[in-house]
Amino acid sequence: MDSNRLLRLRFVIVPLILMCCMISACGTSSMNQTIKVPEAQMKAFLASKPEALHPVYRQLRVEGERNRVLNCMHLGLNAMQLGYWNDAKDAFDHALNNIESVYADNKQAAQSRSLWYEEGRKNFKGEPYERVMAYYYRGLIYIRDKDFQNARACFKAGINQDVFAEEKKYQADFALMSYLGGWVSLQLNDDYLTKDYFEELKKFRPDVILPKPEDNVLIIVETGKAPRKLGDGVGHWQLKLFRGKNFKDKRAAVSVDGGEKISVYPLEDIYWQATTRGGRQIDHFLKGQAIFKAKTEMVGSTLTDVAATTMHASTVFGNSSSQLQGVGAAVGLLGVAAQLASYNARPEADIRYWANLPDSVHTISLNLTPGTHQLHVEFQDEHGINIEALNQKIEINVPETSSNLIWLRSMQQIYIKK
Amino acid sequence: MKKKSITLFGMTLLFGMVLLFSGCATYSTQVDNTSGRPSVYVQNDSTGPIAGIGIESQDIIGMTDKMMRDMFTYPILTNAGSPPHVIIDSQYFKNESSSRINLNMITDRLRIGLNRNARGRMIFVGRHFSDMVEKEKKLKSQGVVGGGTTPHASKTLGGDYLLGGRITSQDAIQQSTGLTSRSTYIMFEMVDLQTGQIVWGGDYSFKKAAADDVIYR
Repeated sequence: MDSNRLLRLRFVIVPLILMCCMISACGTSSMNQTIKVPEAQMKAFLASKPEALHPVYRQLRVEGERNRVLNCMHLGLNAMQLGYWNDAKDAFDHALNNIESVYADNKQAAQSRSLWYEEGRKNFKGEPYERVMAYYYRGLIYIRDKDFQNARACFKAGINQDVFAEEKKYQADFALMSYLGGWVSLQLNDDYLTKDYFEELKKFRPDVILPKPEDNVLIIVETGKAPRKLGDGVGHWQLKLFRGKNFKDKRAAVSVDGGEKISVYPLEDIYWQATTRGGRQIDHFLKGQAIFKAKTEMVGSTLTDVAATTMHASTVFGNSSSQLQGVGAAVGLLGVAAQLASYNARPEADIRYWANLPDSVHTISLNLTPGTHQLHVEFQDEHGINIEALNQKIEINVPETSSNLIWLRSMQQIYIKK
Repeated sequence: MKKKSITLFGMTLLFGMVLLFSGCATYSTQVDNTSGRPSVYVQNDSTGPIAGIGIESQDIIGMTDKMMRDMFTYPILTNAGSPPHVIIDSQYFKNESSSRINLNMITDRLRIGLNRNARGRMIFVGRHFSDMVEKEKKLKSQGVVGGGTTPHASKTLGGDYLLGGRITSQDAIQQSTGLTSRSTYIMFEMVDLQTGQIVWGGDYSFKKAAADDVIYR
């Protein structure tokens, strides 16, 4: 190829190469990378698992470490709703073991801080409200197994996850965990701990009716749908939480054996807990990245405009035109490089979230005579109007010597990734 | 002039190529652990590859070893006229900490270690096997099975001492740095089952602190 032809083609080849740079850099997103698990291996893995849980178990294998905790959370709650308690126990143990592991000097964590990787690249551990809820569900399973001491350990550890709120008044204010910590301490006859938990609870819920030593049934009712996470701002750097949608159930009431209807106390608003956390430390990184992205985009755009003008102007400068073209090309290159950097910057906040959590949790502690009872649970909207389609009638068995936990949800929410 | 332009073009091309490859490198990292990791033995008496601030295997080994050494220095337990009967059962251990733990890990290791090293100076009562013992004795008394080598032992062993204990913890978190610390205190007491006197006590405490990467705070 002679040099004249090469020179003529440079205006086509150079932008072409640079476009390739941009496309290649932006084309592959790490967010949806999956592990290719051979089907035979997958079948062997799923063979011993309940069929209803196969979709999430499959996802657990395919999405690997990055989503392991999130998948375990979904799996655990799916399993609890379907009555596969051992699967639920294993899933939440796994999630909590990961939550409790300290991620220091971790490769994925370091990458998530980098300008070139989205926050969602990190291994998911959840926001504090999600971590607390993982402890909550594991604690409920311990209660079901009558292991009240480990249940209390879960509720206590859950409270500790809730201390990262920016504002002091919202730190460690997860009333649900204090209530349950007090309730299990009551079962263990640990008077001083019961008192501690309930005193703490009263600070946040002064009107709550505390469980009495003679109560033998604890009813926990969950309503609504999980808080949602969305990215907002330039480059979606800002994590915003919204209340779950498409549900009306806000309150609950129970009656036993056709008796008086009693309101179930709305103990915890999960959405409120999710939103009172305030800013995260990672937000400062992401905001910086978003500013970098916006500024480099602007600089790049300006430089490429200058380059184009220089190129056009060079034709009128006779002998100096080649040199001006060189300058123009160099400026253009810098402009495209800046744009490339802008395209590559990844300020997106991590918006993965635990999708089958409830919106609110309600509790009531009752003293019933041992034996079988008919429990009627009525779900109501925010105005107290009965939502008949959701109402439930169940038979409960109250043992002679120990307390019974009844855990109910207004609707089954089996999470399957779309 | 042409030579200059060609050089300029060459440099542009070279720079473009560098950018191209750097662009690719940005996302070349695949999902970690694609092929998994083979199983390996890890020392259970030292901090492993996965660590937190709760009670871990090295803590259980450290504390039970310390308790065993300490107990053997107490004449009331090891130099009594006749070897005392000791019950060590997780039922009498309490977990009031924020660490989930299977208490059998502590009591089993203590009982096994003490029994092995006591060489007859203490006798350990398997109260956790009492159902099985009673069932066997019933079969023997009914003549369904033979008497074994001690046919005259009519009663199950009673305990002289019982080992109890409690785990408590205090957590502290520094919101600004994300530094979390947990101080764990584990106490053991040997109580005389006749008098209620505490004849031996030992404790073990540790404090761990760690901070997650900033992206998790």
